[in-house]
Amino acid sequence: MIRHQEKWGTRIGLILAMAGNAVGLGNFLRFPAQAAQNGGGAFIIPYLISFVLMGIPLLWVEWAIGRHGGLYGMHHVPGMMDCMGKSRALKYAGVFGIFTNLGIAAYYVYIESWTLGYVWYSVTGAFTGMTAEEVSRFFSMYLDTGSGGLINLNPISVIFLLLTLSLNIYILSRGVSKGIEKTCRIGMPLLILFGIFLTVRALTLKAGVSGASHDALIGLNFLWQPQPASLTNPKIWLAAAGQIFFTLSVGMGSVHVYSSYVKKNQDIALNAASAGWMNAFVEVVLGGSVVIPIAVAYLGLDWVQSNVGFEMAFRTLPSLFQNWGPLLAALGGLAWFGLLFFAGITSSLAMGQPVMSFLQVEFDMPRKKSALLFGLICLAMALPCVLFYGAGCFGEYDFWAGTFSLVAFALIEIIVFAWVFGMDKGWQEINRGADIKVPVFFRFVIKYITPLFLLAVFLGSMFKPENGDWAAAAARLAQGRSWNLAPDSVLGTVLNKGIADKRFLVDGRPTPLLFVTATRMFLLLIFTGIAVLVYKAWRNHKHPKEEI
Amino acid sequence: MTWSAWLTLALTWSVVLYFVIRFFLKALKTPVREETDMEFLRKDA
Repeated sequence: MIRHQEKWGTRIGLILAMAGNAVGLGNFLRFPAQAAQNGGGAFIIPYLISFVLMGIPLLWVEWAIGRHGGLYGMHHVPGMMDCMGKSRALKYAGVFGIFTNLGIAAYYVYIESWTLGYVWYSVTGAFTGMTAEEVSRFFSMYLDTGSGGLINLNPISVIFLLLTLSLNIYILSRGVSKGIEKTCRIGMPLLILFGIFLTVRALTLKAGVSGASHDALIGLNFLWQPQPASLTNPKIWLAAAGQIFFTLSVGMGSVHVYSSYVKKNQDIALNAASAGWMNAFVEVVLGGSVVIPIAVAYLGLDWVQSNVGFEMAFRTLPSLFQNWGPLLAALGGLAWFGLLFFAGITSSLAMGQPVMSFLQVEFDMPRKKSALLFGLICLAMALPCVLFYGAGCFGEYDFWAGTFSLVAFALIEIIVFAWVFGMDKGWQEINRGADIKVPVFFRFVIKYITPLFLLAVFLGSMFKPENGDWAAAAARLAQGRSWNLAPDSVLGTVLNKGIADKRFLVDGRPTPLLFVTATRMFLLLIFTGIAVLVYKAWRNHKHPKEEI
Repeated sequence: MTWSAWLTLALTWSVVLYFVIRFFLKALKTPVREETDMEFLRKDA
């Protein structure tokens, strides 16, 4: 086992890298959609409460676990978890910290490559003169989903995927300070600059100006108009807690690994708070001021309410930018897709490091080789997403790696930290070298409130009722009856509630159920494979806990 | 925009901007301790 000598170069570099890890595509694409679908201005109240009671405490816990593990040379999550207590099983909880990053990186890098492709198309004026339908069709052609064929293969999108992946591998192979930190020091300020440009442009759009048919402020009003009645709806609270969860990149293992390169007597309390609030700024201030206001200005509120979603960024926005004239359209496209690209790459780099550090520490693999291996595994896992995008593989990756695993691991880690490692040691760990005084109130929050919050999110996602109607579900429960599960609940997904045809083959052609089942088996295989590697690593040589 | 929407937006943005600026400035101004891990471990022991 080799001991890493890597460290962060500067404090600001570390904060920007952590903020870059948290700021991702979801800040600009998921947050506005979630807010719009869950009570507008009322969404922000549970959002901020969840941020304070779940987000910030989890950040402190993950930074503390990471720095504590790094002290023993453990720069990967299984090793860090192993250092948290006596049980030999703890290291296997850390399998999530590798699996999640691999599973998410596989489809995330693919989306990241779309943004790179769309930067190119925007700058070269590829959308000039296209109608809204043509721009939307362009996206279908880019993914090769428009033809209705079984396999989706567009060589151009594969080229951009390979380019993006190569860039990730190159940066990762340069190391923590010279690669990741340097990229984030350039990428994050640029992202904020692009975001400010688009926010100013969006909020100054008025009906009759630049082809807009409505005031952009109508969109902003839609997002911020409080609907107090929705505050009593558990669905809104679960959505807000879920958004906080995904936006901060907690429950993945990437925060732990970045933090393991922090020197042991250096602050984590202030750094974590800085990175967390910076993410909130990018999400609430910038993320909420671009997509919806621009779309409402051109397409109206009704259209946005029924079409708001992830693909709007690619299908709709490029055609709206065309109303700004050739130069501003190119600039708008560059700023929008450039911003998404930087948001994406600073996050995908954070997904690579946990995998690499496991290979480096446990299998003595050199940095460049481990970066290349990560890239190859990522490519192999991305191929099903690319080739069978329309068949549901992409959604399965997102659900199991990008949703379920995050909540499961966060719940495990908070229990381990507060109840196995112990709050006395844990509180000491969070406060060692702290440059701010963490309010004692958070000691109670970390021990009781955050685990309960996470348990609620976990159970909520497991048993989510149809249409998220918890009031009706509770009424049925009071009558001693069960409720119908939502197709996107964990149990509903396992039972394939959302798939009507339960056959694997129809007329010799594979059905979506076959693809979905095969993808789940593949992901389970990857998870098991990582667990076996962890077992082997611990059998091959002694680890800090065994040496003490 | 309605006054209640403006109020929600203004309050939220103020809270977020206050904390991001406060923490980021503090991080910028506070020098980093230069003690190495080995020095720390020795003291801790």
